[in-house]
Amino acid sequence: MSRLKLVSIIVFMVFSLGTMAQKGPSFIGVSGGISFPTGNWGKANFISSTNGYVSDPAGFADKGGFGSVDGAWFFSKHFGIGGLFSYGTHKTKNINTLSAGYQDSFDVDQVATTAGSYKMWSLMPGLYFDHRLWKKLSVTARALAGITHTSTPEISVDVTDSDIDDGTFVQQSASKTAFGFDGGIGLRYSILKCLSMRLLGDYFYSKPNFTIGNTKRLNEAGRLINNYNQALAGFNVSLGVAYVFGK
Amino acid sequence: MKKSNFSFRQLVYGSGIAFLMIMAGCNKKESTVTPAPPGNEFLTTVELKLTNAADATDTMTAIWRQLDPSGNASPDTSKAILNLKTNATYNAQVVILDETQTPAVNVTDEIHDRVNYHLFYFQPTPIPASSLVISNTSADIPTSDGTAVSATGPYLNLVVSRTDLDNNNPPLQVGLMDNFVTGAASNGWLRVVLRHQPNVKNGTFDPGSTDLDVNYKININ
Repeated sequence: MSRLKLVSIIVFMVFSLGTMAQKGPSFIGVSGGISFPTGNWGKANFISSTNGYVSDPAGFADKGGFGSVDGAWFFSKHFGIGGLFSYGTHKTKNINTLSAGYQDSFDVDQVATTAGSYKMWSLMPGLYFDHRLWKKLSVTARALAGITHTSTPEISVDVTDSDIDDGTFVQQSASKTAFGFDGGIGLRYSILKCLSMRLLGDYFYSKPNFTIGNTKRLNEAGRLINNYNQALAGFNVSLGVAYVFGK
Repeated sequence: MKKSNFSFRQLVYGSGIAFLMIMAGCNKKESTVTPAPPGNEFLTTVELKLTNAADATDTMTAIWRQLDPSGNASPDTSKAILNLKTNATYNAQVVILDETQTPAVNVTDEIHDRVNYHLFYFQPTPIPASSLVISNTSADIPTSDGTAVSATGPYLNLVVSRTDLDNNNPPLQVGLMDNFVTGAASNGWLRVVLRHQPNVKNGTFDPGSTDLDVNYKININ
């Protein structure tokens, strides 16, 4: 690990010192795209428990959309410092699976389930890299770390049996700010003198430890999440434009 | 490179509009309604198995049976009778079967797995109003749910109490296991009701719905 760090620093210094005289493409850009959750966060498990609560790590996060604004000032030909602000949402996926678990757990005629979305914003400064490959085409990369604020979806479950509405219980939304990081690589293509298009792929990660409130859970059966401490990670694919200064 | 007509201001305005569109499009909630799958068991047969606490050889079983799942046919109550001794205590067990299937399915096991939201009630009648106890630990059924109190008697001298607990926190009674305590010689009826109280069980009768509601003839001699 320490050898990898040393090599990275040497590469960085060689690139920086050798190109200090020239400045890279400082920019501000906007982009948007699709986010794909990974790990337990993106799983959806059927949970039936008739005789006790079950805390399940599956987060039921669907692929989502996001938008971001970022910019960087290049102090050398290849390297710059900058920052990213992004906001995105992930709907609750496979809600039928979630609902069927409660239906089986309580052995009732009908369960109506309503779920909101994960909402997530990030503010991350970090290092940017840009290297021209061919004429107008460049490869870009970024390594960012900062804060990620996430709120979990509110999930309402209404139980009906023998035409009697047995009420609604709610897994409340919870919010948490945690350390997060983002690493990405992509392509930049200059379509105008001061305007570039960017195609980026990023990996993002944070692990907030949510404390989740639940209302009206009277009997011990079914899925119950009081605490959620799973990695909220995934891949973002985005397309955007950037205004390049000084061109 | 040709001169660009694009300005930084245009970029900001365009981005703002796109961002608002993303925000508006992503705030819808997901909803679904899940019905029960077909194939639930029928509760066709309810057995009360009693053992005299003072004499393990003194056992009896009363059987209420309704083999028509539609409920249109009259139940077979020819064996729904308990002949109890005076001033005795019986350990009782409730057994529920689905005899529409071959072999018969013991539904008691399923109820045992789901004790956290099932609750049995046992209502002896005739009963004076002063003996009707309505609380979250009593097996009596409120008058609003069908118990007729009698001002004159003669009364059935039987008290039923549940002895088993579920896995809720704090635990609540269930009623698959019970104590029957008799007094002086008397006759009457015992109404047995199973309440299904999904996520609403609190020890009282009213929440939820009724899974079964049957009656037994009681003779205490």
